[in-house]
Amino acid sequence: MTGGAEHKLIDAIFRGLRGTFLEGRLILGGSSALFAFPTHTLPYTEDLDFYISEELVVDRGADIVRLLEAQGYRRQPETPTFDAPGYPSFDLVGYSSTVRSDHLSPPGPLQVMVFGDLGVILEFPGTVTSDATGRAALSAAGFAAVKLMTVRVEKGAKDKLQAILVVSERSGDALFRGTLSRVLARFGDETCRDVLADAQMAFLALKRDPTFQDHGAERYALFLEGLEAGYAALIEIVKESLDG
Amino acid sequence: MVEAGPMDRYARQAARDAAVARRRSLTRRLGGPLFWKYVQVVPSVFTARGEFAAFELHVPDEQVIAHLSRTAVLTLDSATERLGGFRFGRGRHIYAYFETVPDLDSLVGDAIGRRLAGDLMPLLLAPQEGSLLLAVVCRQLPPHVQATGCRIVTHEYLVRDLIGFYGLRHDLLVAIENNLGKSLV
Repeated sequence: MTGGAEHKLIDAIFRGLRGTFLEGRLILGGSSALFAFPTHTLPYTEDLDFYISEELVVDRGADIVRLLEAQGYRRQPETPTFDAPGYPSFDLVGYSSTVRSDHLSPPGPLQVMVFGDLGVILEFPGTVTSDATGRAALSAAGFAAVKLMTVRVEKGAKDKLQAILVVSERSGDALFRGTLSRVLARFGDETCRDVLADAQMAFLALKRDPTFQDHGAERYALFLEGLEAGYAALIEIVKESLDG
Repeated sequence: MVEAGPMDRYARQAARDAAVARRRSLTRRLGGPLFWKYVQVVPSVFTARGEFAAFELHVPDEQVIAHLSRTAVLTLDSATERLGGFRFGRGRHIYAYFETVPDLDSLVGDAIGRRLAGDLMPLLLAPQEGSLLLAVVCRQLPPHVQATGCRIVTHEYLVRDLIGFYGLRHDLLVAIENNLGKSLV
């Protein structure tokens, strides 16, 4: 995986949080989670996402901002976005252990967008990996679940195609398949069918989005093969979710 | 009136996205078992399968088709028209896979048509009347059969191409079910 600046920023953030109240409380997520596990899937992103619990933001919003600013990150006014010269920016994205709808956290020193589905996914065993130094990130199964559940009209195809490629790479991994299938099952049959339909619809973007064709014909052919194999595997995983 | 801040705009965008997803989901449910049947098809994206080219045609369609019978494999509306008597898209285009660039070049040499500049643009600039040949040179021809004097992609591959090109639309699924004469999935 490429992304030198991103890796440096991720290392710097986790290193800077060690020994503070934020150690182990940020989870590297979104497309930037692709920097956290072995994969050939490209992140196609210019910034990083870190998930943070809404409860922590409400309780210690001012402390979080103060701590990150003390580490040298500048907060963009009225947003949960931080940046530092020479590095990509990063966003704090909320999840909740109790509220299952999308909403803004209450106004305060720090406000984040909270996505209801994230809380369901993150509380499921196997969707987050962490180590003794406090680094936490979405696992491959967690990443696939988040991207398959993400609803964005713009850039939505990118989310789905990334997820399908990761499914393709891990289709022989029983732990991955089992975790993803059980997480999806949590959302119910209709949502599982929508997940599959949204993934299928993402293929339409391939005929008009040059983003995916910029890597040479041979790599693009492999990319297509990966997508087709990944979608076939996803069909089976979703069927397992429905059967479960 | 208080101007919305960046977080309010973010939340409104998320709400709009969720509303789109809900509408999409409800529409799918109207399709019932048909929708679920075809969501299990792995789409094939015609224009992404190789080098794409568009040709303005100088001879009648049937003459083009006769020429292609030796060099190409028909798909999409060109295949449904011959197999089921219907076209789904509004354009009258001919869709075909080629195996080699010389086969494609023979269209010009044999005065069948003129290659248009650009890659995907011809799809957007297609004339209201008349047809284009939309061609893809792929490394390996898709599975095909001989039918109605032409080489045509197999039923299974045709459905994959149709869904990859038009998306999972109810009107397309009904057309497939009603006009292609057999269950394809």
